[in-house]
Amino acid sequence: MSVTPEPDRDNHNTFEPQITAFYCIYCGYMAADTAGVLRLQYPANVTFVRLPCTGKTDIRYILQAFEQGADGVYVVACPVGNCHHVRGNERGYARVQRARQMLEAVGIEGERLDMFFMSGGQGATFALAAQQMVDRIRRLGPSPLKQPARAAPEQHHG
Amino acid sequence: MIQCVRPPGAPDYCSRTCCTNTLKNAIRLKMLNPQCQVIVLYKNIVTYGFREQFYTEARRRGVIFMRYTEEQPPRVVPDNGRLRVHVTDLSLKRPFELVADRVVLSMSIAPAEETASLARLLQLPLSPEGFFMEAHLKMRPMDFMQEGVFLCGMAHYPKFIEESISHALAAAGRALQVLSRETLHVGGVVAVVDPEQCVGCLTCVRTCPFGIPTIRNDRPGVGGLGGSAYIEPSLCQGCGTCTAECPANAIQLLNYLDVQIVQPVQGDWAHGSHLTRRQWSLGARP
Ligand code: SF4
Ligand code: SF4
Ligand code: FES
Repeated sequence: MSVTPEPDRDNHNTFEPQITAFYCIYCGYMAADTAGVLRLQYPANVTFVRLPCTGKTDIRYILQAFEQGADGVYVVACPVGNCHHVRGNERGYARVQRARQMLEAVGIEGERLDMFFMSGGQGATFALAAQQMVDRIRRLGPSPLKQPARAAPEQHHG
Repeated sequence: MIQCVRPPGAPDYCSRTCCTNTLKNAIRLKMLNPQCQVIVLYKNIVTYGFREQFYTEARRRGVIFMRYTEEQPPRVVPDNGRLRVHVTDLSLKRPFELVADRVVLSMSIAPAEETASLARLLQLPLSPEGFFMEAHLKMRPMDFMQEGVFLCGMAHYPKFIEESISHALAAAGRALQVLSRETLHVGGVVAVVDPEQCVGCLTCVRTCPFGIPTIRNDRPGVGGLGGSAYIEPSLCQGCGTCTAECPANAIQLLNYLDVQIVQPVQGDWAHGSHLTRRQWSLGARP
């Protein structure tokens, strides 16, 4: 693995990112299922949260995941125009974009949040998305929220 | 008989039924009077399935087919009470002048005039051509995404009578599924508004892809406000878009409650190893 020096938040060789993925029960879930049926390997760093449609991805869920210690978050949705709830994925995408801006504003790299669109048959794409995210987060290092607070006298939880 | 006649601005799609009807009429004319000369000017003959037999039959009875191109459409000129048709045949690459007693035009079938207003009224989707659009082309051709509304026949797209009848039977069957029951069981995943929190901002009304939420006067909102949103459980498709969009966080999606999705890790919990699976999924680690 090529090591990118910047930004360097120590021990990124051994660093195992924690990644939360939201997926919809239609294409996202089907793609995961297909990946499983095809016995494709993808990193175990990703934990999944099932939603009826990515239209349900609340900005709060994304932010909360970061707050609780996720190093990266991504959303898996049906292809644009193919959402089983017509426009849910487009609304979800708009929210992911907004959440990205919020993250940037508080000093978390926007790249840590992403959204992927795929159909139920694209198991390989599903595995690839997981791999891409893990690689990307591994390069970025642990979430800045996990760094010891600089000025704050005491660490807060929740 | 001229096929695919399209005045400027008219819909630009194949209406499926005209070719077969033209051939049916041509055959009927030949049956009544074999001496009658019938010429069909066409771009493409679309007699799909077993209707191809009409094409063979029409040719057997001596109907003449001449193919024209989009670039050189036939021109009809009146001449002393008769009509002259100028056309260039694609295969012979030669212009012809035909003298006709009757010129019969096949024009595209447009959606009924009221389709658009009816669609607005019932909040139903239309296809790009302006016909009603089904929920799923193959799986649910007689349903709409909206529950309890069904479609059949030419409201869907130009169809033959037997196609319309099968479609109507299917739609009636679906309607009976609803009507034949005393009570309806709806899926548990539906959005529920808490009027106590709703500020009546209309966000959910605007963002629901199915137009399900409405603001109802009889449900006072937060602080006794004029009205609050109501989501009819039997219509809601449970996508959760409104719940994520509501600025007051007044809507919860059953089975996907906020507390079920995000369980905040607080206080001692964060230090212990008592994390729930969901908290684990959201990145919390002991
Ligand atoms: S979006 Fe929320 S606050 Fe606004 S009308 Fe709908 S339920 Fe009420
Ligand atoms: S859950 Fe989806 S279908 Fe139901 S009211 Fe909300 S936006 Fe509409
Ligand atoms: S149903 Fe998959 S994104 Fe909406």
